[in-house]
Amino acid sequence: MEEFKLEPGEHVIRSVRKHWFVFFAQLLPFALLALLPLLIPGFLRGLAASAPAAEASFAALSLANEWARLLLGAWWLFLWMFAFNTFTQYYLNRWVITGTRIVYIYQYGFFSREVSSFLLVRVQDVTTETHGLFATLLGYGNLVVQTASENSQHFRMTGIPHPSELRDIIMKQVADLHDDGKANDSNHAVRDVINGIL
Amino acid sequence: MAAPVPSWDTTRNTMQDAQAPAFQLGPAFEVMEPAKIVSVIAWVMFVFWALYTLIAAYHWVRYGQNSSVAIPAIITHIIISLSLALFAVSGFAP
Repeated sequence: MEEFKLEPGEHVIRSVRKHWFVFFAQLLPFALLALLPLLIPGFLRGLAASAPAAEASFAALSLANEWARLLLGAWWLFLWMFAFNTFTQYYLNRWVITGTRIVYIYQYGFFSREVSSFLLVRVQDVTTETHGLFATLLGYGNLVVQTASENSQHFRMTGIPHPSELRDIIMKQVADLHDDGKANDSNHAVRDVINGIL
Repeated sequence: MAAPVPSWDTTRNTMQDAQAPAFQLGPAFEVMEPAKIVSVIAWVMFVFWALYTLIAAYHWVRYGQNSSVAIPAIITHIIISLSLALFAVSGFAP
């Protein structure tokens, strides 16, 4: 079930998730933690090289030992679940830009989700931020949209690809909506004048 | 004659004449077979994994059902998880 329904005549212009590099950067700690148990036995054997008795006891810390495999398998399964959770969050978090509004969907965790929707005519300011070497080279950054309402709000999406392009799309849609509004106003004015003459 | 009273050796910071008992596992651990320990650990892992998988699948189906990624993602998760679980218990295979 979708969190929002498109109005008649409304269409999705762009749906945006975080940049793939940001996602892989979030997975990096899990990869390092997964490799850690494979490095520890070698490190301990190196430390105990001068003590044959200790070396013999560390020799049990290999994949040939069924208990070591059990612990290692459990550890990897545990890490995999956290990594899959990261992917779930990456995939379910997104911005949807339609012809009239922006829908901001953020999955904080399981059973914790925020869906905000704000009209493009209320957009007051769109700011892009690109910080760092990788962000500059790979073309990702942050996008901050400020709305003009009684309690002005900021909506920020971090690590999205090509934020400048997205800013231009939003500003173009905002300009089109304002142009349509002015055209409608002028049509009303002409109609009023004609009605006055008649 | 009175029994010797244990005295405190301040130079070594240890009790003299007092014998510390050797560390031993409880009798429950001595009678427990490795196969039973493995089965208990495997059951705990499975329950935890099954709960997690159900919750994750619910979120994928509810919030990502219009996407072609949802079902492959759940299937991939199950296949990788089962592979890791099999690896974990493979050393105890009869």
